[in-house]
Amino acid sequence: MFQKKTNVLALCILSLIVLATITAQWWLPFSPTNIDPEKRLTAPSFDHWFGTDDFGRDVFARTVVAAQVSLAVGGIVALFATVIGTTIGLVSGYFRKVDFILMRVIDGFLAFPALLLALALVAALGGSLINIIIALTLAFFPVMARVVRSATLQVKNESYIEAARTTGASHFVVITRYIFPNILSPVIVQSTFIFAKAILAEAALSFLGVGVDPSTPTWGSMLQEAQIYLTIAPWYSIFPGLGIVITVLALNLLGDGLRDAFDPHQVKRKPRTKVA
Amino acid sequence: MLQYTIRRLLSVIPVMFVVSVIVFMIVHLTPGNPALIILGEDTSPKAIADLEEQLGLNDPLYIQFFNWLSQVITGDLGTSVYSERKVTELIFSNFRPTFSLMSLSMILLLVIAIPAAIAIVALRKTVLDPIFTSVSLLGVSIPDFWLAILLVLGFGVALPVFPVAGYVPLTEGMGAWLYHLLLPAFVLAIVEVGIIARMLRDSMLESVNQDYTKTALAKGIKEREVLVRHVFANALIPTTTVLGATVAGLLGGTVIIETLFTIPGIGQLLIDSIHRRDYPVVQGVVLFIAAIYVLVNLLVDLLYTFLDPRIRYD
Amino acid sequence: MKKITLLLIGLIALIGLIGLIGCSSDEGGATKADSSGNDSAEPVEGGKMNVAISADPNTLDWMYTGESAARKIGWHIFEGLFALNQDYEAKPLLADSYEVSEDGKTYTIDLREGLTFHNGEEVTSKDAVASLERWLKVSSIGEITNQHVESLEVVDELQFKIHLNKAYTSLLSDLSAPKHAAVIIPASIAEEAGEQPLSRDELIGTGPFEFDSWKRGNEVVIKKFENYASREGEMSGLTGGKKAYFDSVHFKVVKDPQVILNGMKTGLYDYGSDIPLDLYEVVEAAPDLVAETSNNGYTILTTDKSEAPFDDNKVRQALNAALNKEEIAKATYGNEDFYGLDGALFTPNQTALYSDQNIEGFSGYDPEKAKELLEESSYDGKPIKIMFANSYSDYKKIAEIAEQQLEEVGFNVNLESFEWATYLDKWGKASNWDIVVIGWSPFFSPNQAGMVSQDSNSSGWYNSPEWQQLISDWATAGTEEEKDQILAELNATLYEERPFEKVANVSNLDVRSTSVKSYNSWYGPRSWNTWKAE
Repeated sequence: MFQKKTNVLALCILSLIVLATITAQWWLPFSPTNIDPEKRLTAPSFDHWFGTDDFGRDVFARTVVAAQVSLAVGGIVALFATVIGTTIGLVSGYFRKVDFILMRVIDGFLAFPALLLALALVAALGGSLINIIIALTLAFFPVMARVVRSATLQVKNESYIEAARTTGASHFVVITRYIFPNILSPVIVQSTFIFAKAILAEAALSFLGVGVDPSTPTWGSMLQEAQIYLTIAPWYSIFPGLGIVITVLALNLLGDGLRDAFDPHQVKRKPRTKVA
Repeated sequence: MLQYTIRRLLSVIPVMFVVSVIVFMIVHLTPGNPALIILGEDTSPKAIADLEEQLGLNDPLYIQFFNWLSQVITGDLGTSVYSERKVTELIFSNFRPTFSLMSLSMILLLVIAIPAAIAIVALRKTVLDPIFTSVSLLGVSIPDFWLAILLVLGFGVALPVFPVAGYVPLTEGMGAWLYHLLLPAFVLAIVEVGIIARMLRDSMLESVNQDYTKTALAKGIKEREVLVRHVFANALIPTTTVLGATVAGLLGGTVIIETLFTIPGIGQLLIDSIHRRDYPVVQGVVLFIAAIYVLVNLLVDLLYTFLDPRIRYD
Repeated sequence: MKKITLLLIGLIALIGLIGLIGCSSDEGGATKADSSGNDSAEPVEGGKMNVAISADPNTLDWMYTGESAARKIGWHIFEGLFALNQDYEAKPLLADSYEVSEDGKTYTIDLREGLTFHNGEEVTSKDAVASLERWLKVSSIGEITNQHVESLEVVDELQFKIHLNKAYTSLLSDLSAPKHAAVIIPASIAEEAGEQPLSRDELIGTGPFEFDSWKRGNEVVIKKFENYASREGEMSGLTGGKKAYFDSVHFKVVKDPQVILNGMKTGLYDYGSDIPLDLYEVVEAAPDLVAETSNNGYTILTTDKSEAPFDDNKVRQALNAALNKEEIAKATYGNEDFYGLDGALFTPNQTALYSDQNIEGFSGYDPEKAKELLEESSYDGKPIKIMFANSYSDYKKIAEIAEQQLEEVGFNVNLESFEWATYLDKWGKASNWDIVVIGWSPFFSPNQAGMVSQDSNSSGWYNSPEWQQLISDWATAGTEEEKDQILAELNATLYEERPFEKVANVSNLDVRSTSVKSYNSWYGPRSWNTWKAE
C-alpha cells in the first residue's frame, strides 16, 4: 500500500515535469531567451518567480525549458544503455563461451568512475548533445550488462528453460521468449536508476563546461553560469539545482518503489551508488 | 586462500589491458589528425609530419597501441603538450592535494557514517529510522556540486566560517590545511555517507535478529554493548565490499570538487587539460585514476576474503 | 505515506534554509580604512605579492605578443627605450636622452649609463640595436614602424641612431607601445631567438624584477632584481624611479573570479585582475578590498573578411543593423558607469586621439533593414561560426546575445568556445571562424590598432588601401589640424568598410587588498614602489 503511494507520487511528479517542459512555450509568462538588460539579476518577485539571470532572462522559464535537454539526455541514455547492456548481459549469461571475454571488457569499463569515463570520452569526441549521449551511454551500459548477466545466470538454471531447450527451441527463442521476460524487473529498476544517474552526470559535465553548446540551457550549464554571481544572486544557483534534485529524487523513489514492488522479500542490500 | 589470492591478482591483468585499450582510444577517437590536434592548426606541415613520426601515427593502429603500452608499462606516460613537462611528473605534483582531500573525506565519512548507523539501529523503533531512509535517498539525488554551492553559500558567505576556495599544503601547518580542506572534504564525504551508513544499517538490522544477539541479550548484556561489540563488528565485513565503490565515488567526485574549490589536484589537472586539448595528460590522468581504482578494489576483495573466509571468488 | 511526508518536510526545510542564506547574504556597507592606497606608513621590504590572473599567456615574450596577460607580467621583467608615463605619454626609460635631426629623419639616442641585464651583462647600444631589429620583424607595431626605418647604426657604447626614410612622427609612440613592446634584451638572445618567441631561459630584461619560474597554467614567479638601475625621480606609469620592495611576485592563474575575491578576503591573493564588473558592488562592500578600475579599451566582433559571407560588405552592413549594441552592452556589463557606447576608434579619455566625427554608422540597429540587406546580399544561409575564448565571461555573453540577435534577422549561427591558448591557435586560421568576439586594450596611436592591422588574423584579414593611406599620412602629419582630419577620416573609413563591429568601450576592474600599500592605480598591476603592511 505504502510503496504504491510512493510510486504514484513519483510518477505524478515526473509526468508533471515532462508535461510542463514539453508545453512550456504555450504557457510560460516569459520567453526563456527574452533578454531584458534593465532587469539583470533581480531577486525573485511576483513577476519573476525565480528571479532573473545576468541577461535579465527569467530563471523560472529557463529552469522549465532546461528540463527538456536534461530529461531527453537522461531518457535516451537510459534507453540506449538498457538496450546495449541487456543484449550483452543476456548473451554473456547465456553463452558461457563468450562470457569470459565479454565480462573482461565490462570489467575494464567498470574500472573507471562513471563520470570520469564520460568526461574522457566527451573530451575526445567534443562537446555536443549527441556526443554526450554517446559518452554517457558508454559510461552506464556496463552496470546494466552486469545486472542482466547475473539475473540471466539465475534464470538459466530453472527447469522450464531446460524443458524449452529439450522441446527444440532455438537459443534465440529461449533468450527472447523465456529468459528475457523473467529478468525484466531488474532491467526496469536499473534503467530507472540509470535515468537518474544520467541526469546527474549531464549536469556535472555541463557544470564543468565540457557539455553542450553554451547557449542551450540545461540545469548544469545554468549552474555553471550562475557560479560567479553566487554571492549577489543566489537564486540563480538555487532553482536550477532544485530542478535536478526534484527530478532525480522522483526517479530514485520510483526505482526504489519498483524494486520493492517486484521483489517484496528482497533485503535491500544493494545501495544505489551515486554517479561519481 | 593462497590460490584465491593468486587468481585474484592475475585477474587484474585482463582488466588493466582493457582499461589501457580504452585510454589509448581516447586520442584516436578524436575527429581529425591527432598530431594536428596536439600541435594546433597553425602548424607547419613539417612539424606535423615530425610529430606523426614521433608518435608513430603512420603505423597500423595495433602497433601504435603496443608501442604506447610498452612505454606506459615502463612508467613513461609521455609529455604534456601544453606545459612541456612529463605527465608522470605532473600527476605526481598534483596528487598530494587530491590525496589530502580523499584521506580527509574518508575519515569524515567513517566518523559520520559509523556512529550514525549505530544510532539508527539503536533507535530503530523510533521516527529516526524513516527520517534516515528519506535523507539518504535525498543524499543520492543531490548533485554534489550543487550541495557544495549551497554549503559555500551557507558557511563561506552567509556565515563566513570557512574559506570558499584554495588549498594549503600540510607542510604549511595542520591548522591551515584543515581549515581550507574541511568544507570540500565534507561535501565529498556526505554523498557517500548515505550509502555507507545505509549499508551498515541494513547489515546490522539483519544480525540484530540473529541467535547470537538474542543469546547475548538474554545473558543480560546491555543492548548498547551488544550492538557495538557483536552486531556492529559483524556488519563491518559486508560493508567493506562497498568501500571500493566508495573510493570510486570519491575519485570521481574530486574532479568536480577540486574544480569548484580550486584545489590544485589531479581532478583540476584533468579538467584543465581537457579544455586545453592536452591529450597526453588526459590519457595519463584517466589511466592513473583507473589503476588506483582497480588496485583499491583488489585490496578490498582480498581484505574481504581474509576477514570472512566463507566467501570465495566467483 | 510517512516516507513521503518526511521527504516533503525535508525539501521544505531545505528551501527554507536556502531562503535564509539568500536573505542573509547582503552585507552592510562598511567603511574602508584605506581607499586611496597612499598612506604615510613606512615601506616594508621583503615578502611576496600574490596576483591572481584569469589566464596565463601563451608566451612571456612581451615583444612577441599582444596578449594582455603577457603585458601585466612582462613590464616587470622588460623595459624599453621609452615608456608610457602616468598620462600615457612616451617618456624616456632606458634612453637617457634623444635628439631629432632638423629634417626629422634621424633620431640619435643615448642610453643611460650603468644599466645591467638580469644575466649580469651591461646594456650597450649594440643590444639596443639588435633588440630593435628583432622588434621591427616580430612585432605587429614594429612591422609598421619598419616601413619608415632605413637603418639602425651603432655610434659608440651607449649611443646609436635610427635613420628613417622620411619624417615619422609616431616613432616614440611606437617605441613605447605597451604591447608587442620594443623592449631591450641582450643582443645575443635577440639574434638567437630571431622570429621565434623567447624561450624561458631567454627571458632576460632590465626590469626591477627578473623571471624566476613558470608552471604553465598554474603560476609565474618573478623575483626582485638586486642590481636594478633605477631612473631618478618620481614613478610615473612605466617610467620614473622604480624600486622593488617584494622579494617575489607570484602570478597565479585562477579562473573563477568568485574564488579570486574570496581568496583575497582570506589573504590568499593580494591583487586580482579581470574581475567581472557585476561584482563591483561585492568589492565595494568588502572592507579589505579596493576596486581599481581603468580604461580597458573596447570589445568588438571581428568578421573574417577573407571568406564568405563576410567578404561581402552588404552582409557586414546587415550585421550592423542586426546588432542591438545597447542591449548587448547593458546585459554584458550591467553597471552603466563601466561601459560607454561610442563608435570612435579611440576612447573619449584619450583626448589627443579621440574624434567624434563620422561615427554615425556605429549603431544602426534596425532588424527590418538587416533582413532586407541580408536578402540583397550574397549570404546563402550557411551557418556562421562565432568563436570566443571562454576564459573571459564578457566574450561569452556578447557571443550569446549576438547569436540571438543575428538569428532574429535570418542569420544562421553556431557558437564555439575555447580556452584562451586554444583560442589563439584557432584564431590564426580563417576556416575556423566567421566572427570572433574579442576585447582590445587601449592603444596609443592609429597604427597600433590591432583590430585593423592589415591582412592579419587579428583584423580578420582586412585589406584596405584607404586605411593604409591614412596610416601613412598619419606618419607625416605635423599639425594638430592635420591629425584631427586624419582621425575623422579613419572613423569614416571604419564605417564605410566595416572591418569590425565595435560593441562598447569598457572599464577593467581589478581588485587590490588594502594590505598592499602605496599602490598607484594605472593600467594593470605593477608591483614596484608598493609593499605589504605587516
